[in-house]
Amino acid sequence: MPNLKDIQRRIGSVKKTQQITRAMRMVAGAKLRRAQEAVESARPYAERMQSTLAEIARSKGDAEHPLLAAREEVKKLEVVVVTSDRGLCGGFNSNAIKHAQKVIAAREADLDALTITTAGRKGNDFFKRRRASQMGEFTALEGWVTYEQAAEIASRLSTRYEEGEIDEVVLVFNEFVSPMSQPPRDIQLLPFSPGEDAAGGEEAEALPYEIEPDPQALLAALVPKAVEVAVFRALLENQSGEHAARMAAMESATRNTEELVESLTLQFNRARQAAITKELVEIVSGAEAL
Amino acid sequence: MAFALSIVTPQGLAYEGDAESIVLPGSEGDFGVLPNHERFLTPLREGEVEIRTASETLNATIASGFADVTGTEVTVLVDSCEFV
Repeated sequence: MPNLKDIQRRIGSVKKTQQITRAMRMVAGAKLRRAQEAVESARPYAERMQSTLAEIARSKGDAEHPLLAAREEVKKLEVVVVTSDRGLCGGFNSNAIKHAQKVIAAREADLDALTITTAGRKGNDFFKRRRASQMGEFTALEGWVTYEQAAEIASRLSTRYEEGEIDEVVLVFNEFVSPMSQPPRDIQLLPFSPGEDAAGGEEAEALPYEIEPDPQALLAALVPKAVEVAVFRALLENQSGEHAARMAAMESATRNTEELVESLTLQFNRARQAAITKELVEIVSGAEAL
Repeated sequence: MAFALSIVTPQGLAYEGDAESIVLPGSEGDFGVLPNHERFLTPLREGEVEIRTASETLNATIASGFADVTGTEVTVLVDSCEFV
């Protein structure tokens, strides 16, 4: 039977833990709101970019861009794994990592070379230990994701793709579907495919565009930016997902501590009662002995 | 006479409203846009933008991007935009 003091101490420590998880939950909630705002503000840019790209893809004629050209044989694959820098967010990071491993396992047999680029410390820590020789660049996210970070990652990848160092780039990240669900997904980043669908229907039918100086030059300016936007979007989704996952994890942790405090309090009261009963019995039997 | 101008960056809308004219740093040299301009698309280099609205003149600095011009609408897509 644990003594009263011990139980009391445990209740105290569990309550302290609860304070922390509750505070983290609230912080994650506030950050999630901000992260979602960042996603919202990036959306118009991404949408315009998409529709313009589709527009050019339609009217480009024979204009081409090295980032759009697919390789006949993919021998050198680059996998970009996006995770968060910090833990304490449930299965969020391990979901992305597991998914990345699945992607790698499915492709590895046909490859000559594989490199892994990571954004976010958690993914980096994981792969650094298991595939040290295949590690590429690592970007720590640190605080709020910026467009510059995404642009840097994208331009590094684009350069290596253009130089033939890699044949394909796959991006793995957790997609932020809702605060309750962030399933991992993978998309092919390079060769880049200008999606035909988005907003293609409405105004795209209108007048043909005059493109200055020529479609080739515009494509050269546009495609690298579109790749940047795709990376930026993945980073933003990852950021929102991280805070949402942390919020959910901390909520359930808070609930668990509540249950624990309850059962410990019950134990404490039982022990207290037992102690009182024991004392009474001692006094009574002592009095009887006189 | 005015056209609808929006300057969009990945951080959000930097400007949205009516303008009477705008001067943009095109990749082939600066150019001005007035209402009813021909529909065209062009890359932009880093540089300065001058926006004239009915009441004021605004100056901004933009990073590279591109502009999408139609007769009634101008959309400027840039990495960043700072108003002076």
